[in-house]
Amino acid sequence: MVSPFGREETPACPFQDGVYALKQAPETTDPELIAAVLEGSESAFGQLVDRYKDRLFRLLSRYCRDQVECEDLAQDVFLKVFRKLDTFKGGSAFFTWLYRIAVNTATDHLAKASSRRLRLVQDVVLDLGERDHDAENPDVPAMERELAVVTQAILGKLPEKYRTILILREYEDLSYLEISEVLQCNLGTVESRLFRARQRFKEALERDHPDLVPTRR
Amino acid sequence: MQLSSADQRLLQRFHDREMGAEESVAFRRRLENEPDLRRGLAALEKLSGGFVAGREPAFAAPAGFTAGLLAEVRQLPGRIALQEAELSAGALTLCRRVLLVATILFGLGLCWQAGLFDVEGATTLEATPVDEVEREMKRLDAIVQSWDGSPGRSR
Repeated sequence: MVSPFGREETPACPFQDGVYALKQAPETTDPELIAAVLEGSESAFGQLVDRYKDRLFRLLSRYCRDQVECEDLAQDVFLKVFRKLDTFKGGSAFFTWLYRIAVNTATDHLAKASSRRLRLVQDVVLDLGERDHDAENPDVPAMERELAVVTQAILGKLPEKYRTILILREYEDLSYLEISEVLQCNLGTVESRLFRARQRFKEALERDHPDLVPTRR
Repeated sequence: MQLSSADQRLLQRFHDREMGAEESVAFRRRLENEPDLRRGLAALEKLSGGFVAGREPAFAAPAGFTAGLLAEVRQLPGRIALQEAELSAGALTLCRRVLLVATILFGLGLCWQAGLFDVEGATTLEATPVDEVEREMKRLDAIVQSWDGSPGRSR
């Protein structure tokens, strides 16, 4: 059987030659792994996935309602990465390219599911509330938990471009340069869009939860 | 006092650690001297607090995710076949569009031929025969002459 990796595979034991063989060389860089994938190495692709799956799930968590949806999206993203890997020019970090695909996939997914978007946001709020309640940690102040839940809910109501930039900056802690690579825009745009996004966020917080609004006085 | 938009943007860059070393030192100095700026920074930090508190991801990759994904990838056609499939899909789309445009043009041509687009008065312009023109000129001359000779008409 010829695999998409371009060589004969034994279906019964496809990983016999070691999916994780490259794991023994943790210093293998992303460009080296990508080159290996393009030459047909399955293990290299496995290692790329292992390297970035946690970050990807963390990012997609911000767009998804449940674990299954998140897994489906993550799988979709990695399949796109595999298909399009030959178009990655290496001008930016691999993870920013991966994030770009992930953000586009997630926003497309949300646009398709826009009819159930309100339900989605409400569910997220309920889920988060329940999860937090279940795993109530006395060390985490209740006010902080409430703020986290409210933050997520408001974020879900913001226009997509503001939501995405806040996710990338506030949750993912990306620099302006990294955000500009993910969103393919210049640094000035990142700065001004982030500024407007925070203003919109604050306005929504003032409107819906005035008790949680940080004041400058 | 309300902070200016420029100061708010500076605050944002400081908060996001996007300032250079020199700029950052200068801004820290301003922060020490300007209480409004300090309050603005505190508000921005509090606003970010909700995000920081919710940074723990809701969902995580399950065990066996990579193996499952590789199994999915193995179901795909080979990379070369994938490229060929994309290429042929693109060519097919192009062919369909060309065919559609050709069909539309052909249909328009047929309608034109059938005279469906003829507008009254906007068809062909035909010249009047020469003798008819001369006859008409003579008739007009005669009218003019009759006016010149008629009583009560003077210059």
